[in-house]
Amino acid sequence: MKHSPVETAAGSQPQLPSQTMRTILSLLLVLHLFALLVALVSNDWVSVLTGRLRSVPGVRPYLQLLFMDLSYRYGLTSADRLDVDFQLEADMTLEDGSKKTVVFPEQGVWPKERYRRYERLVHAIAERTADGNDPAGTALIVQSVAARLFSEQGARKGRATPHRIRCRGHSLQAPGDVQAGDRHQQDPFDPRYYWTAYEATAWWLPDGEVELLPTEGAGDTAPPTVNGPRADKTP
Amino acid sequence: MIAQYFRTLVDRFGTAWNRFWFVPSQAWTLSAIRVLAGLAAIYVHATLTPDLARLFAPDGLLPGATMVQLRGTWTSFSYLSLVSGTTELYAAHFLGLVVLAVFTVGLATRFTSILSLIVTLSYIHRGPIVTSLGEPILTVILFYLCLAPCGRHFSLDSLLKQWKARRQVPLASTVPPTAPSTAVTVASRLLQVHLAAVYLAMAVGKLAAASTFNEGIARPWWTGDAIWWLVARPESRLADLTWLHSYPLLYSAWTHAVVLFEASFGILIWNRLARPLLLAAAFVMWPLLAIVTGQTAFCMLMVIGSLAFVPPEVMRRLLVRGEALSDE
Repeated sequence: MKHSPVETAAGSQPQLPSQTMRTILSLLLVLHLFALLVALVSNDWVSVLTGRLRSVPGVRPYLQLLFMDLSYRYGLTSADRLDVDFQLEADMTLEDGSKKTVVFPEQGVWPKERYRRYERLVHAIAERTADGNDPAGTALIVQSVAARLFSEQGARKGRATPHRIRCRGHSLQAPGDVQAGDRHQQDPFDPRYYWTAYEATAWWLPDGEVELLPTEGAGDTAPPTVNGPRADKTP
Repeated sequence: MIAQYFRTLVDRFGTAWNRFWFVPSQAWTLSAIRVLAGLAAIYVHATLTPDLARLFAPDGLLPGATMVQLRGTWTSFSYLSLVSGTTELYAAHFLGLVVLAVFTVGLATRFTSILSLIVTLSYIHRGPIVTSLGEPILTVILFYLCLAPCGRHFSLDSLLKQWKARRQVPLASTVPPTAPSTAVTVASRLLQVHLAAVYLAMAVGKLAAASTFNEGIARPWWTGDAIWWLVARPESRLADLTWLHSYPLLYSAWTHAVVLFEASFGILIWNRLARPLLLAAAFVMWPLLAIVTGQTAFCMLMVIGSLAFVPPEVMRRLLVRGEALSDE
């Protein structure tokens, strides 16, 4: 590895750009690296200083346009209760009066990138519900998803027909659950591993809009803890 | 004496800065990254094809008006927001795929690299809520590729250049060498610095990750459980590795190895001796993480990005057999 871009020419006299060009390039580099540093240090945890740095004119629009306004602190998992996969369940009455329950994202969506996109959408509902800061934003996402699912399945419209929407988290098995004697405990898809993060009654109105009446306290439901030596850590 | 110290400091810093950023270099590494990143971009966008209308059509899961409200003050631009009907949406999508394919094969690369970045950013800005970990890394790579002549090798551009040169001098056995470029160095260095920062941020994110659930604080990347909690997500993972429950030492060691690798990469990748080891580790670590997380594109792009640390001459030796294309 003795030939890095710099090292290749380090022995001889490299042909550097002119002084003026280097000054201009250096200035642009410093500006870009400053913006990048601001993104890294001010997205998750904000101090007074980093908060001020974020408001330097031009920094945020520049980073956001390039989708670099991120901390990149990809933990992959924090074993938190929200750090699980979520699914949306819609109990609906169809046009012919029959009942149907749809699960979104559908099982077996392939490749995983497709599943991931849909799951992110449902995950946003659970995260926003847990935050509780933006109920209007949460409702917007639920309404969009519900309207699409109702339309795809041919649900009955009107205020006389309430449908149910649930966002459910899939709690994870601790190692002790996998080796437990109870076959329900061994099955990762057993109903006891699911908990409700958000629930609402929904009406699909004739104009295509969805009206929601969230169920109070649905998001406060504690995820199930099952038996096993490490059940206290099960997210 | 103090003045002398600062004069020396400034002189040496200036020399090192110039050497780091501006010494011209060849584009072998960036050209290889262009091909791989282009293929990754095609993959990411192709996986959108079956769901395009379901996601982005006016009656889709993410209607434009909803996204405008959710984005708030976030600065964004997406040509997909200008498209109204489903047919136009698919037309724009396939046009985007064509742009990415042209970029990958290296035709009019200086132009198509910018277009590829615009295509990728357009999807991200149209539905940021459904982006995963891979897209931000893809935009990082594509952005820096825009700054350099990354179509100099492994490209139709280079074949056309050779063909033109041979037409002008029919008896020449070799084509004229391409001169090293400062733009290549700047782009390579930016990609390296950005990726090293991403690696460090990921290590920090893992070490800081804490669950406060059930009135206790669990730090899975410290306690060695993190890999288990990834394995235990049946919908996400690519393969069922729950047999690891019998081997707590193994998943614990794997957990610590991931953190150690990411923290080391961010710092030690600048050390010439450590670099080959860390690059080899990246080729092992990321595919394994793809299996347990299901984040295929992200892991693939981290490997591709890590290639930025492969010196151009090494990349040339690895990928080019004939010496007819020598730049020296």
